[in-house]
Amino acid sequence: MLHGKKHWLYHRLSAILLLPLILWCIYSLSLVPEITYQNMVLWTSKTENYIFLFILIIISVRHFQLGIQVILEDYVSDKKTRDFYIKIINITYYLLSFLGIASITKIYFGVHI
Amino acid sequence: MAEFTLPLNSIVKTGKYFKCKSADKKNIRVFKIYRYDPDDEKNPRVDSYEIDTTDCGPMVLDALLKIKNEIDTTITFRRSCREGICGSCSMNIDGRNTLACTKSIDEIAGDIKIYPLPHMAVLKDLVTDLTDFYKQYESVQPWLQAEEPKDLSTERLQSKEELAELDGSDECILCACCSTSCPSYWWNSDKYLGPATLMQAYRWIADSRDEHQKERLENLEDTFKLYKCHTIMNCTNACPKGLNPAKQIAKIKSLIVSNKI
Repeated sequence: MLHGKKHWLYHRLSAILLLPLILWCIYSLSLVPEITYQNMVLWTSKTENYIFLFILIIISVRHFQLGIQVILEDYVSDKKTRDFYIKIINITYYLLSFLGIASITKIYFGVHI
Repeated sequence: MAEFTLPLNSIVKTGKYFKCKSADKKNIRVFKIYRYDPDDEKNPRVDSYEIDTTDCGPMVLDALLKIKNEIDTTITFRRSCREGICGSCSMNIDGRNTLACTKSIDEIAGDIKIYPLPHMAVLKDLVTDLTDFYKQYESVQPWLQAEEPKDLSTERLQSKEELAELDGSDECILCACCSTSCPSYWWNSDKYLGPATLMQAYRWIADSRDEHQKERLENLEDTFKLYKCHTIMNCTNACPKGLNPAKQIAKIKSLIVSNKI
């Protein structure tokens, strides 16, 4: 659980990093002729797309987790309840990151093997 | 959890209406003022007072004094210097936290609504309990901390540039307009120091004569004390002295990051 300076710094750094990554994602997807299952599998299986998606998933889910933690700290005054919700959010972060990365990795290696 | 509805005994009711007895009623303005007396165990109410502004000073504080002197002596509010220096008459006028002594009646269109500073415990009428606010101020140790010089006859000199570092923070009069306009302070006023206190903290961090910058920054490095500032900027918008507490808070954050505490 991040607190104080580290939380503030990581939240801003992740926001800055997300800007070019989201722009890349929009641009790259706009080059796909048609959004179909097969095209998306092909798109994800490209090495550069896989790497950028990998980073995007980790940073965006981390940014989400840090943001929700701030909201909980702001609005849940009871410390025990607050810490419980923050733990749930932290577990969700690891779960979502794992699911996202496992999914694109399966597509990437599934196509390449 | 945060409370989003008022308890029943906090619902504000309509109070008395005091008509103006003046014969010439050309410049009548209505002042709607929040009234609460903890002794009568009744809900707070808003009383209305008609004032002939031709027979009154130009500022809201002048009207309040006229009401207290001539219409209703029970109305309670703080005031002292009547020229924007002491910060005593801070209240919510026309929806904004400001000083009654520097707020002109003519600036406000329609009825003039006067409430105590928001989200603070009300002691009576327009007087709020600032005990915690002053405790927070005390917590940042707002005094010079430096080793005693060997030669006591020497002064602690500052260059003009060093003194300029204090511009924008040492003019604060601690009226609490900024802190009580901050949503983060509303939700966490027991833990978050608020813009006024943080600006005062910066005032001593930036002081070239102070030797405890590191300790001061370490004291502020806390999720709630400092980082509950989400740069909403209500503080800067509310400050009746035209200061920018949000900028000083950003400077503290920047110093903490760069000092690698």
